[in-house]
Amino acid sequence: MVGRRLIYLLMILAVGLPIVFGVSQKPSRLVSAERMYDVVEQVRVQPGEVAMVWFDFGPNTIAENEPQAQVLLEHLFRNRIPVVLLSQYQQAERFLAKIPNDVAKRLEAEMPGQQWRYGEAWVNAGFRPGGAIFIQSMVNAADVSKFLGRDVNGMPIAQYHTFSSIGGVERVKLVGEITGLVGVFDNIIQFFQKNDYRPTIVHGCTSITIPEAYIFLDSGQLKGLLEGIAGAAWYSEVIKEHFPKSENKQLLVTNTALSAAHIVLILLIVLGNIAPLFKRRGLHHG
Amino acid sequence: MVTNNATDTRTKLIRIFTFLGGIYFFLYFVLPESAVISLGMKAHHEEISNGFIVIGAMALGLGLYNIIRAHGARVVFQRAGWFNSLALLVGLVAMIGATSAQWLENIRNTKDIRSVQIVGEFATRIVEDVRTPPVGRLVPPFRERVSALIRYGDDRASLVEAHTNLSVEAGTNGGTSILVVEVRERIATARAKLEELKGVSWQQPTEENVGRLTQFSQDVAKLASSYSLMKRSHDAHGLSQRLYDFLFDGLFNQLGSAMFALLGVYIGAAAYRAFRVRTIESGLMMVAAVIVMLGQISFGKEIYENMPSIRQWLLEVPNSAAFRAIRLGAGVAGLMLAIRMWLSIESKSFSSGRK
Repeated sequence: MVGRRLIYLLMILAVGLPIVFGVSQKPSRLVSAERMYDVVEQVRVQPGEVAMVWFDFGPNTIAENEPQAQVLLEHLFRNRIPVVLLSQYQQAERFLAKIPNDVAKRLEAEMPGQQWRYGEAWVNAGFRPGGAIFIQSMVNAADVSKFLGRDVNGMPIAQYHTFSSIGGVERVKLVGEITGLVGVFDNIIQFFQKNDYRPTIVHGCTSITIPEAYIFLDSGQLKGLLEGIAGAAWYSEVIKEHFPKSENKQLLVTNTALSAAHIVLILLIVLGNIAPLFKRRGLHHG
Repeated sequence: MVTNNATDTRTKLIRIFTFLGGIYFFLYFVLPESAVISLGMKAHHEEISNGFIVIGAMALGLGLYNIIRAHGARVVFQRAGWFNSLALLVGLVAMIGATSAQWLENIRNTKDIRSVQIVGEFATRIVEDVRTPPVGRLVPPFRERVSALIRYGDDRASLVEAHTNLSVEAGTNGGTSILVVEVRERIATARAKLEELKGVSWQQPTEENVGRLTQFSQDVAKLASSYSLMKRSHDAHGLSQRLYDFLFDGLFNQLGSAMFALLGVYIGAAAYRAFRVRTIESGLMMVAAVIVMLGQISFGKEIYENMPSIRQWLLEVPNSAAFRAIRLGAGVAGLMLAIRMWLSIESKSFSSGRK
């Protein structure tokens, strides 16, 4: 029988080797990610209109959620859609600051002369406690800019020209929810709506929550879905098709490492079922 | 008896507040909007919701108090595992310290940046007051206001200049970096405009003078925007930020990721040891699991081209049907639990003060 330590070693090698040697493969085509790309592509904003993206993840799920957040922001930034970033989860605070900065720097390096600046391309409204109650209040507020008040630096959001007068929640043209948590996505689906307003919602989830997210995708409440790292990887490929200079090598390497780990898992399941048969046969013959 | 009476009163109070809190949100959600407006709930909903959020946030303080009390006692009396408690408390204090330092730094910066923005806003306000004279609000004469604007503008331009030089000297923003060059250009523009304003007679608000003020306001807004970015970039290299980066990125982030990554190896062991096909149902489950995994990974389509499509069908059809059933069941159970909590009959601590 295969020992536990050997299984651990196999898993570490399966994940580690592709990363160490930078092996990358084209990811699997995921229709839900393609749908999400099309949805984001169709978003057109007038002055004052924005996208609102929630980063509801912490260090434990960054492996899956960070690439999703990056590709979604990259696409929104490329299309010059102003983004309000915020979170229902206090541990996401660091990522709200870091990820848009990283994406902006990458895009500025790719396109010299163009700029994506804080206060123009995005604003960070930080962690907002209260979950469902907070969302219900926000959708009923007359002006989202005033309701949010200050950004994470303590600056009034209305001071930033792009975000100075968002107005009612109807002016939020796209809602993105990137999370690995249970409950926070439900808050968005249930409460981010009013009378005649149903926002376009896209979602990035961890692999564990994919099956649950599909019920909302199937019902049409969710317009696009990034399924774990694989979803982010395919989304990045679609971006690359349209913007060939877009850099996604690291993401593809991570996805390949994960694929290798899946193969090992499948082999272990098969081996785990075959090995007892051989053992039993051996006993019979013995 | 006195204690029992006090406990009963407390229990009643908890019940009353729980019921009132529950009925407010229930009514707000189920009543038609016209009724919500006529009852005055709509007008005060934001304040009431904020009140509930504040009460929720108090749990943070309560949690902090409990952690310090429980783990502090373990450290003081050197009970089993006291060293782990000490590590927890040191981590807690270090993180609170680093975050507070960073927060204070942010507040200081925001104050500086706002003080520059206010110059532009002041100029805009003077222009607005000229175009629409204020009613019921006394304002100083036009000439005095412009004179104050010039003085304050000069002062803030010097502040921005000093901070820019400081940033270049400290090496946090290179002298030729885009931000520094941009800030210096905008200081020069603002200063030139200030000199122009100084040379004008401000006895009467002529159209030309108002135009000059409008232009000055726009120039200052641009300066404030660049200054804000340069200041934040400078502070990204500050001690408080580096300490925070070390604690969050260097420790917390890595430990959190490592904890979750361990799941991968446990799943590997479980796949081999526990995933046994003994019945038709478990066989079906295994086939579905393998297809879903293969459909999601890079190698899947090389094994069978339509693997991603089959995976998609499995998730969209059988999975969605099963999950909807689970969600519906959980929803009904959640509703029952909510009603029981609302009526304070869920827990003995609500229903009775005595055990």
